[in-house]
Amino acid sequence: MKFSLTDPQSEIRELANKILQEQVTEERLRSLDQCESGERFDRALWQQLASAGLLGIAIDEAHGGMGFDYFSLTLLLEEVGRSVAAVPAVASLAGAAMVLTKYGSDTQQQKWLPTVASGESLLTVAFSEAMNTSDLTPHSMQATPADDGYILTGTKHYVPYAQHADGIIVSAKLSDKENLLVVVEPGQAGVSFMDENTTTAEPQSAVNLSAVNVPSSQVIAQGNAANDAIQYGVNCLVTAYCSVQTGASDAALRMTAKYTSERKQFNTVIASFQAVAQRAADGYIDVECLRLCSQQAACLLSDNPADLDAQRAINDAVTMAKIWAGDTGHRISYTAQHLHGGTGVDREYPLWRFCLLLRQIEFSMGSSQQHLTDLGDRIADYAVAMS
Amino acid sequence: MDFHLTDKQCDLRDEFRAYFDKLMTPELVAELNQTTGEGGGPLYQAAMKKMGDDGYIALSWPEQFGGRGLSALEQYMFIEEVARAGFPFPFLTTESVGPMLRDHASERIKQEVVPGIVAGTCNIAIGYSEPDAGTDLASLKTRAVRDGDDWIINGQKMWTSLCHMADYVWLAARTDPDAPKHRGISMFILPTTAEGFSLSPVHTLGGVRTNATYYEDVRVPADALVGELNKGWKLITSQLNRERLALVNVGFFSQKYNVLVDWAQTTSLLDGRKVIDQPWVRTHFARIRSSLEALRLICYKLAWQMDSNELNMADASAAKVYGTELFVEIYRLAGEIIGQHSLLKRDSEDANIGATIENLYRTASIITFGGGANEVQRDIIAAAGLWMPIGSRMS
Repeated sequence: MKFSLTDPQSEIRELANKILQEQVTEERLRSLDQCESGERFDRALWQQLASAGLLGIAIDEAHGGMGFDYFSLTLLLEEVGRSVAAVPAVASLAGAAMVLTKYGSDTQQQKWLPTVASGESLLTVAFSEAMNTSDLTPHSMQATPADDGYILTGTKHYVPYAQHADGIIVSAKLSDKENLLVVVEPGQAGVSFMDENTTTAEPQSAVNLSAVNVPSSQVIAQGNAANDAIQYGVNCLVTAYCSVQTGASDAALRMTAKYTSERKQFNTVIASFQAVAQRAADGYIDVECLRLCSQQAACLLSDNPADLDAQRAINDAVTMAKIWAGDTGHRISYTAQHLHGGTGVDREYPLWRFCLLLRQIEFSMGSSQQHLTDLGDRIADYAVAMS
Repeated sequence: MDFHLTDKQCDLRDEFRAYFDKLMTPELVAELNQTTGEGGGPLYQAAMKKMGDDGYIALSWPEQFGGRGLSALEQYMFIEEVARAGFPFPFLTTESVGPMLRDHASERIKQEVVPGIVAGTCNIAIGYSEPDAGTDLASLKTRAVRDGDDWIINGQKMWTSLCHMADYVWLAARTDPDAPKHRGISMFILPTTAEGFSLSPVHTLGGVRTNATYYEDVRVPADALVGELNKGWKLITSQLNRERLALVNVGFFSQKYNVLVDWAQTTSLLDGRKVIDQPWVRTHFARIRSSLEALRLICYKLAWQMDSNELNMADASAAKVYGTELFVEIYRLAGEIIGQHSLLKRDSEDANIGATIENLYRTASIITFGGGANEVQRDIIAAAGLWMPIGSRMS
């Protein structure tokens, strides 16, 4: 048990914090707010992060990255949440690049990872489907074998930055027990998009594949290996959202503490009222629970699971972290708005973007109730015992 | 960051677990169940003595005082196993009062009292609270007045738990009534056999007996004063963080969770389903499990902070608030899973696993205000963790 960062990890966090706090100003966010629907992407910032090497934190040195582990990447993600930066870090870095690093062929890694690290190409992930209770088991997207590779038909939803991406990692159902994971390129015949304008204005899309021919060179994993790869990808994505949520909820809470320490009513700062201080203190506890559960999930994901028990421990840690991300996000959002009074909802004041982000992550890739249900089923199956 | 125990820590856990598996004989468990788990019976006394003989009482103490010099994290793991086993170990004596006596008492007291603590034969009750000094402990009124070579003590203490089986009271008394309230308090060690000392029982909702204790011209020698005159407040608060951590140890429910899941997996409802086949029961378990996981991590982080001298006051208070309120909530959720059997006491002819919850619910009601009321803890969190200005009550 150790709760401190290594020196390189501290440097990553400081560098990410410095760039994001300096660059993501209120003015810059306001100009992004003026973007057309589907265009809210801070490309200049993305290039700055690339120049600083931060897009390659968890990409192998052989592919132009820093070669650190997944946990180190989540340090950047927490800072992304703290600054509400409009960048595709979760989908491209924590989702796509992690999956390719672990399951992609040499050719696929060569093709994508160096340009993801340099910021020249952007990847995204398409796991989620509307009305599907689990991102682990695709239903809508179906694959049938072809002479070379597979033919895919179906619809994915809520794909982040899909219309900005050069490659989309898509999961598909092969048979009752087997799945498939591939990289689809948006220019391929049969690929079409439908705009999904989300509550934070992060660009997302429904991606429709109509008999898209996916050659074997684009197949990342099939059969049981695909099940493992999908589980890994979903774990990386869910944990990444938890890290962003940690940064965003911490920032919203501290903004609230500062505001209530300056705002005067009845001739005194409102933070001196016990009802105000106590509610903020509850927020502090919530953020700490979320932070620790997220950090644990990220650390375990950086291990190589040795056996079934270790794999289960990872899945359970990820699920518990997302339960906290949903609950903490919801509570912090309303605590922050409420204690700010009218100021909290005024778009001239920066809180509103945090509240929307907290809600977006609360419902992304499974709400708290969905994850509680999953965890409950696993407890019925194998107890998820306390050591 | 590393969320795994080291091999050495795993070995230590195995050692502790095996030790308590052996110590907790069915006879001892039966005796403890009759005393609402507070100990004090002959088998309990024998078990404490055995722990003393085995060198298991002062594990966190330096080796020269008969301990093994465990780190705060290792000590936390020890308490986790004690709690898991359900043994009513006197943490306050061994972790708080004992070290203060060891480090600050006069030579005579050190010789007379400390070896008995390490041997498991000496019991000490805590005399802090008074009828008018609870959360605002520093306003206590019990007086100690110097008279020649003695101190004369007068006053009343409240909630002096276990005092009816204690050899000493660890007593906070006012020695300078003119100083600001935190700076006029001193600590004394007082034998329960002293003339002028008396007690009367207080029976609580949980079935646990505690006491009111009375001090009428109780005379103790000058060297019964522990630490410096009028510096008692610092002594009292020096161990508070460790006490708070011990209070919310995840071990108090971790094994009970495992047992309860096993019960729900194997126990049938009359409609043929198992208890755990009910969807809401699964969600309840998921709530319990994910909340306990956060508590486990909070406690380990706090223990780690103590060892690396990075202790954050807000985090210690956060652990106290979160842990105590979680236990109360968990006992409710667990009771719902079991149903009305969770109202049946252990001596019911058809008592089942629910009797544990019945007992826990009754005894848990003190934890949210004991050890520092949670409202005050939240004030500390807001001030030390979020830099919010504190209200007038904190001055």
